[in-house]
Amino acid sequence: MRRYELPLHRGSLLDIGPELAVNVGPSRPELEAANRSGKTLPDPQRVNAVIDTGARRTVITPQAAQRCGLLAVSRTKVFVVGGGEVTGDVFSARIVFPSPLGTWPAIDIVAANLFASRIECLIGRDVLRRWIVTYDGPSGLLAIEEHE
Amino acid sequence: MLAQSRFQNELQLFEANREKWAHSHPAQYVVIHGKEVVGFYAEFENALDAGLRKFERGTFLVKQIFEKEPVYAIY
Repeated sequence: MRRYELPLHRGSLLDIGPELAVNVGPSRPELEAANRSGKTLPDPQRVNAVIDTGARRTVITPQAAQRCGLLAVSRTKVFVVGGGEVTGDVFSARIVFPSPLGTWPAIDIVAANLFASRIECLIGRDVLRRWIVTYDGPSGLLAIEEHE
Repeated sequence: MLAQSRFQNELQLFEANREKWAHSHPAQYVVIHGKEVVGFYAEFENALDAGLRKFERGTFLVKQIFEKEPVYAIY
């Protein structure tokens, strides 16, 4: 079992929530296709994310998606509380989580504007289904475990 | 390309076949380029890879098949 503990920071879980930094870039199949044709794609970029059990799918802001060099593969409907229902892009991406957690080599993530300006990505239940997340409110400890 | 026109042709083809495909390929991913249906795949990564072996990235649709279009709620 791999275990990642976010830095102990008393009080931060109340104010910030379960926030973690991830790196997002083009997916593994896109990298392989680029290699086959002699092209290069952007390296993964740091993205500020929050673990969100209220999100059925992982979400990224359109601005972060562009910064990470992602391209759309589909369109879908999203209902954002406070924003209503919109139709937005779905991007293919690779998400690199903090070591020792694994990398998602290819995931379809939904684009939507988020209302906390520092948060660019919500880690949704599509990813969370592979993790055991411990949220220790009194101590401020957040730990993520996944099977190897 | 305007966001709302992206994949317009592919999405039209998808909607025309949604009900049929929801029964024959439930929850699978379909890859469509223009009017061509490339194939159906159980995993997103395999669908994406199949599309990339024929077309440039960003030029084909990869969409999961459900009988009714889901609306993903974000709280």
